[in-house]
Amino acid sequence: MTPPEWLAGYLEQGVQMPGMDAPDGATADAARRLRALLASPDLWSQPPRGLLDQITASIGSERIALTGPPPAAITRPAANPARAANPARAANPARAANPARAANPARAANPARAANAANAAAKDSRRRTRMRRSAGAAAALLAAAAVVIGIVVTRGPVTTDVVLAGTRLAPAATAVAKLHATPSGLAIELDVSGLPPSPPGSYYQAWMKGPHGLVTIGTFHMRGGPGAVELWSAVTLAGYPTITVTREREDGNPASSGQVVLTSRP
Amino acid sequence: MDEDGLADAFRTGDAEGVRAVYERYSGAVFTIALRVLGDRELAADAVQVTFLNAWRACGSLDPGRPLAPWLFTIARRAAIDLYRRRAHVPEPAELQDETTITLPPSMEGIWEAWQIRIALDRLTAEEREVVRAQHFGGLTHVQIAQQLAVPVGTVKSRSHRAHRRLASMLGHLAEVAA
Repeated sequence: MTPPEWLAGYLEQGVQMPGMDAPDGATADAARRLRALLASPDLWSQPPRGLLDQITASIGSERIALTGPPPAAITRPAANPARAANPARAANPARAANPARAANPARAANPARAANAANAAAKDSRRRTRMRRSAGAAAALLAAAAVVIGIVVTRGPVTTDVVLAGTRLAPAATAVAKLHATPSGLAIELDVSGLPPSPPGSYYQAWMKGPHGLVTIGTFHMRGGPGAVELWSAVTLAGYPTITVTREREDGNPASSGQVVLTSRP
Repeated sequence: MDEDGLADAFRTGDAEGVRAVYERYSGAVFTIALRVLGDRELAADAVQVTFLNAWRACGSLDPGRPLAPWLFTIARRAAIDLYRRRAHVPEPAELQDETTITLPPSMEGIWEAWQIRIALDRLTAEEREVVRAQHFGGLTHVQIAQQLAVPVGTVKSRSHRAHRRLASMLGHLAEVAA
C-alpha cells in the first residue's frame, strides 16, 4: 500500500501539505484526532518494570493449580494422618497413581487442555458421587493403605519465587517468597533479611493483594533474627498478584496500617 | 516473530509465548488501561489481569484469527471491570443518591489509541525517539537535533520516514483515499 502522503505530512507538520487534495471533513477530523493522540502521555507510558515476571509467576502458579502439584519431587512420610486419611483424596486413586498426568509439561503448559481436564475431572466427580456409597469402604481401605505406605505428598516442589523489596520504611529489607501449591492452599516460605525485629507491641503482617482487595497470610515479628517465615494463603497468586508486608500495632484493629515495609510491586 | 508465529506461540500457553506477546503488546494494553482508569497502579493491575485472562483463554484463539483485536477486547474488558469495581466503592450515607449513575469513561478513542500505540512500538527506536520528542515533548527539529547531538538533517529524515510509516499503518483510521 502506498503511504497516504497527505496524512504523513499532516501528522508531521500539523498542516496540510501544499499541492495535496483536501480530504473530506470526516477524514480531516480523524487525522486531527490521531495527531492529538500522539501528544498524549498515555501513548508514551511504559508498564512498570517487573510486571512480566509477576505475570509469568502467576501463570506458573495457576498452571500448577489447574493440573495439580507435580509428582513427588519432594516426598515426605505421611506426617499428617488426618490429611492422609481424607477419603476424598484417597477416593481419587487415578490422580495419585498417575504421575505422568501431572508431569507432562505439554499438558501443564496448555490451560485450555487443563480446563478440559478439569471438566472431565468434574464429570468423574459426579459419577463418583453416585458411586460413593458403595465405594466408601474401598476408599477407607485405600486411605488406610496410603497411611501405611507413607507416600502422600504433603507439599509439592517449589513452584514460584516472588522477590520483595524494602520500601523507604525498611530500605535494607529484602525477601524472597517461595510459593508451594498444596491441596490445601499455597504454602509460602518467606525468607527475610534486613528487616529489624518488630518492637514489643507491634508485629509484621503479610498480605496478598489483588483487584478484589487484601487477604492476610500471616503475622510474624523477626525477634529471633533473620530467617524464614512460614505463611499460608487460601487465595492464588493469579488473583492476588502482589505480596506485601506491613508494620502493625497490637491495637485490636484488623485492617492494614498501610505502613508497607516490603512489597513485590515493582 | 511474525503475527501468526506470535499467535501460535501464545496459543501453546508456554512462558516464552506469553513473554513474546507481552513484549509486543504490553505497551498498547497499558495505554488503553491508562485511558480508561487514569491511574498507573490500577493500569498495571489491568495489564496483569489482561495477560492472565488471555493466557486462560488462549485455547479459544482460533488459528488464523488475528491476535491484536482479540487481545484488545480482553484488555478493554479488564480495564472496564476494574473501573466499575472502583466506581462501586460505597459512598458515605449522606452522599448516596439513587438517581446518581456512574458511567464508565467514554470509549471514544480507545481503539485509536490502541492502534497508534502498536504503530509507535513498531517504529525503530531512533524513529520513535524523534516522534516522541516532536509530539509529546513539543520540540522543533532543531531542538531535537541539539538534544540528540545529531545533525538537523538526520532528525528531518528520521521524522519524515517515521511519519510515513505511521501514516501507512494508521491510514485506515483516517479513512484515507489512497
